[in-house]
Amino acid sequence: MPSREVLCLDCPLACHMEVSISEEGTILECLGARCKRGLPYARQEIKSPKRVLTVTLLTKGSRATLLPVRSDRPVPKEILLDAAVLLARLCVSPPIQAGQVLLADLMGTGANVIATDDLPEDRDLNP
Amino acid sequence: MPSVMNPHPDLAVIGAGPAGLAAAISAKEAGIAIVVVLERAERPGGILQQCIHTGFGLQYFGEDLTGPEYSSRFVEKARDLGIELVQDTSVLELAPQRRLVAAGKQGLSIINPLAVVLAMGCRERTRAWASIPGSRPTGVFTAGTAQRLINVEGYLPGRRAVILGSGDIGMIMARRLVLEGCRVEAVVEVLPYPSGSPRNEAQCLRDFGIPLLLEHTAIEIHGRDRVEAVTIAQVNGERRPVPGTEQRLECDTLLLSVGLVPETELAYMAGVKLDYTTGGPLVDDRMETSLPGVFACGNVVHVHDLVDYVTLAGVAAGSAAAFYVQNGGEAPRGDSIPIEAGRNIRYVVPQAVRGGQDVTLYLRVAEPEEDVELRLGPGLARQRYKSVRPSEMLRVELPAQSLQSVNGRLTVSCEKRRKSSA
Repeated sequence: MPSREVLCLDCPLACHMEVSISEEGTILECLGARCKRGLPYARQEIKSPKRVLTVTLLTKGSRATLLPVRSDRPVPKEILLDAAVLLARLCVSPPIQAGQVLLADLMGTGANVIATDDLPEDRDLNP
Repeated sequence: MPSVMNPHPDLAVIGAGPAGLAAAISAKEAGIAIVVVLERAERPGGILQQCIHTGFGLQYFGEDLTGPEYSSRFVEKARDLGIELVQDTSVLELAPQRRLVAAGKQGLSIINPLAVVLAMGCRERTRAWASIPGSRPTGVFTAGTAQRLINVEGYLPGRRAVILGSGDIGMIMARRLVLEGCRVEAVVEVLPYPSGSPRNEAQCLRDFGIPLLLEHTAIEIHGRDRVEAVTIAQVNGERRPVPGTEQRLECDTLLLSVGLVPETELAYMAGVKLDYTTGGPLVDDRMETSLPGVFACGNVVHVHDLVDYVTLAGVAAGSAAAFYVQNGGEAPRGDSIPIEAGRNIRYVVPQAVRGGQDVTLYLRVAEPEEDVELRLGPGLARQRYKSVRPSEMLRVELPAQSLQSVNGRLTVSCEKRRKSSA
């Protein structure tokens, strides 16, 4: 019965798990997780490894040069670089609130790209 | 209109990063009326503002947040509670009676709070510390500087990088550079094991095919006006370069991730006693320094791996500062019990306990080890670990009553577990 080491990356504890996989690819046993998130993580990692993408977007009309963004859920590991190239071409303008969707359904993954910080309108700063 | 600062706040917190915000919120919630947080940057949040990646809040909120998302929860709470956030203001001086001199848009201010919380965070070690031979070309940056350049200022430090040091910041920046279209030739680490977390090793290096060269170091930087290459070499057991193993890596950028050091200029100036292993002030279980009414929390005390624990430390310091203010500055402290770092323990914080409340000890081992037992004694607590490494801070919880029986000193040590004969 083939077994595989999977490092759970769900949290910084990074449990080393040992996973036994059946011929059909289902998990028979998963040892070493310190919480219940380990097993679903292992399942996903073996089926299709996914990661959260975090980058910055260029802005226009704001004193802040960039806006930090993230995918609101993990996306397939293989598309990270292509997604980063795609997002490098975007430009956003205020007002934007943290959590706001800036690009829906990134590359057909179902994940949305959301702001992780506000991009407020510039107010007159001289009283 | 720049406001005039209240010259007699109950509590002044220096730094509006996660430690300072947590302390300020905790003190306000404990009933302190006037809490002021002094922040040198334009915005609160500290280093979290430039940490656009996730990994924050898994312990504290049970959510995987980015730095700005984690930070904004505390900034919003602080504002809701009426905590005064004074930005663009640097504290220049801290005197023993807690007299603070600060400079900002409102000019020079002198304030005399009843209590102070130090939460200034830490700084990165530089090329000068690493002593890498070569001329002084452009293109050598600390990893955190590169992070600010890319994530806040919108500049690439270069296009082809070598990263010295496998600390978390170095690995995070390796991934960040690749996502911005740069090439990362290698992450070079002098130790035989990575100094950052396994999560970062997997998500930043392995995922992107970036080589991690353990037991290697940079021995020369080439280039006069701009970095052209870095020569690396393998090191032996004494961390000395092994002749004949030199390799020249072509690059235009060298990022340094060679350690963080608590920012203690103010503490040092004020005469606060420092711990030369952590680099930060000595604190007791109330997070109080050697100066009465001066508390400290977060990376200024010792460098943390997880911001969640920084928040917890801030909460503790804020509560203790509130208690101090509400009790008119407490009576002279009784004898506190010092805690000694024993076998394979690099340091433990707090360095002393007064007793009378539950205590959480934070510590790091000196060397990685497998199958060990942390022992706090004599005879107080034991905790087993399958493996321990210096990059992972450990915690030991001590209930108040367990300390009642202690007199003299406490020692924490990391011992190999004896295999049972079978």
